[in-house]
Parts: sequence; structure tokens; C-alpha cells
Amino acid sequence: MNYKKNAEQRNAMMAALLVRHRTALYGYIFACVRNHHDAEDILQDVSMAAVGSIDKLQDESGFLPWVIEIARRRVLVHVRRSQRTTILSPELVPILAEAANRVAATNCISDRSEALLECLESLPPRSRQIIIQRYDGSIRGVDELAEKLGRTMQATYGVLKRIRQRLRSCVERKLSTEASG
Amino acid sequence: MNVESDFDLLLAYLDDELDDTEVASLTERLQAEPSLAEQLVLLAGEEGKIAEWAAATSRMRPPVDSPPRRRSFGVARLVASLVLSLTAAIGVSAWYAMQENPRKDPIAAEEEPAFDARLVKTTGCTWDEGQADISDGSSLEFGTTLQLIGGIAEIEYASGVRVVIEGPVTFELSSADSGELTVGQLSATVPKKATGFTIQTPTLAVIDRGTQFGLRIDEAGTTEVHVFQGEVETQTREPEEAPKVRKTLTTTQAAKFNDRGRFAGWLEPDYGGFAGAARHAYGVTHTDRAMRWLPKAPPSLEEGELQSGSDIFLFLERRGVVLEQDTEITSYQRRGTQAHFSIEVVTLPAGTQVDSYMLHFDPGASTQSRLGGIRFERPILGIIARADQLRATDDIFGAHGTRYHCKNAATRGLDDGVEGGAEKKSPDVVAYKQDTGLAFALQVHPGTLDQVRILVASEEK
Repeated sequence: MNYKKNAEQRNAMMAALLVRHRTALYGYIFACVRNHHDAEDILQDVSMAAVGSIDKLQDESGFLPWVIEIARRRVLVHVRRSQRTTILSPELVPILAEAANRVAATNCISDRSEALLECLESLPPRSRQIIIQRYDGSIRGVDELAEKLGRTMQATYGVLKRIRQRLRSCVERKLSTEASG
Repeated sequence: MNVESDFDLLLAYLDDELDDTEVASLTERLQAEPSLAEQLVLLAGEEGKIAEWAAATSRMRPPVDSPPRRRSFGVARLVASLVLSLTAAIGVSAWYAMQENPRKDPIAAEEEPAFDARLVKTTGCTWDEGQADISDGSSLEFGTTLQLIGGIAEIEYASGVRVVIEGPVTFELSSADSGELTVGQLSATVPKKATGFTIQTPTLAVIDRGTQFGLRIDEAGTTEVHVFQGEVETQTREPEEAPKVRKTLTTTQAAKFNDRGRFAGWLEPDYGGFAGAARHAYGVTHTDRAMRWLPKAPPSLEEGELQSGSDIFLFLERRGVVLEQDTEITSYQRRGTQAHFSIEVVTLPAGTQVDSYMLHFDPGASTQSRLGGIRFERPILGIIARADQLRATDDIFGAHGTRYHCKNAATRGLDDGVEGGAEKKSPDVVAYKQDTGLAFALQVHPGTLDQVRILVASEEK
């Protein structure tokens, strides 16, 4: 594709790529900041910066490193400002950026996301309820969930871990079924 | 923190459960092991997907109060602490302890329900005197009459039937396959295995035939039955010895019955008016965090009437529309990525039956970009994204009572970034994802708004 001659098509492709790689991009950001609010804010910020500097995108193959580089800079700013006690080393930010590039390049993340959504929908009612309570943003952390469930923190972590393991097995099963089908 | 595998370790890290030493040790490993770093990114992406799904699933339930689109910890914590203080008397742990075969793992326990019914979730509930100790997770025995003064409570029968009652309401859990509504409103979702589940009212028996429906009884004894999905049969109850008068209602039908249980006229189904008209009633299975689901069509979509810098609004416009003639739309499903809205015209043939949804993004005076995604239960047939096509189809697909007129009508649809034959700015982009999903990247400039009408295959009747 000649990107210089077909700017309109390049624009459309860029935005579509942003949609396609959203999960990998979010994964990278969340791995660095470990807070869904912050990750979502940074992602939206990165998306807007990418759309705004579209002229800097040379070709499709350069999209992912380019947008992850935008994310890396914003994550670094966030990490330096963060008040967390157990903070991620800034040295890891580029290492995770490279990992995100490799993950996104395998094209498996989209299939995994689709499978994960199906697995979430098929969770038994009580597991579903616990996962929603844990992740929907209505509680701050596992301590609150533990209190709500009337369980110890450790027991609650155990429950959540088992549900996540169950989801993980479900995703793997679906992916292997698709691969063999 | 005791971790058994890398998966547990990474999950604990993302949950912020590792101490400084453990984080330092993990950092070293991440620097030395590229595959572990990839695993972390993958897991973090999945955590994001789960959070997105949970927030969307939670949001699909029409709230008592105006829902915060973004997470509002302050308010949420306040509500949570109030709920916790109410649950102190019984609590969920006590509920587990009351099981005949108590098992510590709630996942395992759900395979063997040992309760008649239980309260799954309460929202803003005020109970009648004597029922103040009822809270989330409380088990309920048959014969219990619930008197809810205000708020919403979701009850789950052991059979899997879910009943959502909305105060003020009086509801009795009569038996494994029935309940009795005296006054107020409820909605019920009945799984196939529990078909035949019946709600008695003073004048009617409303018998499920595999469905989701809403019931409303006013003080004068008038009953409304709204079928969101499936089929129900109503039967008169009085006088007992007289032959029953029966009526069958199916998906999207709603009817009013007088104080003797006799049919008194058809109604528009009130999808937005019942808290328990769960998301499947709307046919939407997933929306991501950029989107805000409106359980009811808004009164106006004119510029500035439904405005947000961060939210893309989505609502059901109309169900079961049968096209009387070939209708021009912008693109069919499975067209891949779409960004040429000003020139695209395809035709949906007469006779096609569709449900119509409207997506609306109006950030007001600022330029805003949003990425979003949505998934429906049934296949997407196509979208209408051109301003002229939107205008031409407002009367066919538009929600009753919603004003669609825009002063600057040419700017309603999506923008392909082309002005005067040349590319001027970034286009809006829509991408079909399999046959039920849609992803989009929208960019709105001051003085314009983005709208897309999404046409989804109606359920076969």
C-alpha cells in the first residue's frame, strides 16, 4: 500500500489498528500501572495522541511500536508521579513495551479476548456475581469484597484465583477446540 | 504471599498483593525472562477485558439512581458500607453456614443448591418492619412474604428462576414453581428447565412458557403484563368455578388487564421501566467502558440534549420492525473495516425484520476521540451511518417519543474525513467483528455529533 498517495486509507487503517490492538495496548498499560482507572485514562490519552499525530505514522507495520512508544512515555510520566509503595521499576516499562509488541504481533490476543468473553458469559451464577463485584468498580479492593462475602482476605483471594484459573482453562479449551476444528 | 505458579504470581502482582521484596524479585525475573513479561502483558490485557465486561454487565441493570459511568469510589464505598452494616445480622458467610452441606468453596457449592430461594442482590432497599435483617445472600423459605418499601431486590429460586422486585411491592415466595404479587412490580427470567413457573396476582395467573416478562399491579387492581422475550399465558383466577379466560402474549407484546383479570387493551412494552428486564431483553451482550447503555430511549437527540465528553450513548430504538420496502443503509455485516461513509449505499431488502439501536456521541464544544465496542446476541445486519440515510429512516426505526431533528442535520452521521473531495481530517471508523460484534473509533469536532443506527436481526417468532 502506498501510504503517501492514499492518506485517507491510511487514516482509516490507523484507527482500525487502534481498535484491533486495544487489548494488547491496555494490557501493557495496566501491567505497568495496575489500576483500571489510570490504565483507561492513559489509553484514551494515547488514542487521542495517536489520532492527533497521524501524519507521523509511516506504514502499517510501524503502527504498533509507534503507539506503544506513545504509551510508554505516558506510562513513565505516570509511574514517576505515582504514590504507590510497591512501585514498578521504570526500567521495566520498556521491557514490557517490547513484550507487548511481541504479544500483539502474534495475533492471538484477539482470539483470546473473544474466548474470554464467552467464558465469562458461561460462568456459573455465583462465580459470575463474585467476578462482577470484584471487577465492576463498585468496590476498592479485595478487602472490601472479603468483607462483603463474609470471608477472610486469604479465602477471598483463593476464590478469585480459582475463578480466574477456571476462566483460563476455559479459554485454553476453547482455543484448542478452535485450533483442532 | 504464597504463590504456586507464575500465573498466581503475576495475578498477585496485578492485584498489588506483593510486598517490596517480592516485587523486586519479580522485576529481576521479568528483565531476564521475556516470556514471563509477555505472560504478564497478556494477563493484564485479560484483566482489562474482565473489568470491561463486569462494568458493562453491571451497568446493563437499570439503576435506582443515576449510574456513574466511571467508577466513583467515594459513592460506591459509601453505598458498600451501608450495605455491609445491614448485612451484619446474617451476612453471606452465615448463609453458606446454613447450607445442609456447607462447603467452603462457593464455586463448588453452587452445584448443589440447598435453599428454596435466596436474595442475590439488593440495591437501596428499605424493608418493612421485621424484615430489616434481610440482605444480600439471605436464604428465603417458601411461604415468606417480602414487603419492600423502596429499592430493588433480586431473588433467585433454586430452580434458577430470577425475580426482581421493585419497591413498593409485596411478593410471596409461594412454592418452588410459583410466587404471588399482590401489589407493585416485578420482572422474572425463567430458564427453560423451569418453564411453567407461575406468578399469581389477585386476579390473574401469569404462566411462563419459557420467557422473560414484567408484571405491574396498581392499587386499583389493574395488571400490566410485558413480555420481553418468549411467551406467557395469562388465566383469570376468579370466580374459581368459572371457566378460565386465557390469553397468550409473546415477545414485545404487552397488555393491560382490569381488576377482574379481563383483557383491557394492548400497551407498548416498557423495556426501560423494569429493573429486571435484564440485558438479554435488550439483545445486547456486551458493551465496553466507553459506552453508556440507556435503558430507555431519551426524549431528544438534538445537539446538546444528550451530551458527554466521555460517554458514547446506546439505546434500543425499536424491535421487530419489518421493512415494507427495500431500504438504503450504509453497509452490510461482514464488510470488514468501514470508513467511507459519504459514498456508501447498499440495500436491505423488503421483508427483513430488524431490531434497531442508536449509538450517539455528542461531546459538545470540544474535539473528542473514543474507541468502543459492542456485541449483540443476534447477527448485525448492517449499519446506517450517513446523515441522509439516518434522516430517511428515523420514521421507520426511530424510538417513539424521541426527537431526532438536528439543526445541522448534515453532521449527524459518521465522518469519512473528506471535504471537497480531499481528505481533511481523521475519519470515523467502524469494524465488524464476526457477525455479532462492532468496534468503532469515533472522532467528533465541535458543532458535530456522531450517530450510527445499528440494525440487528430480530428474533424469529
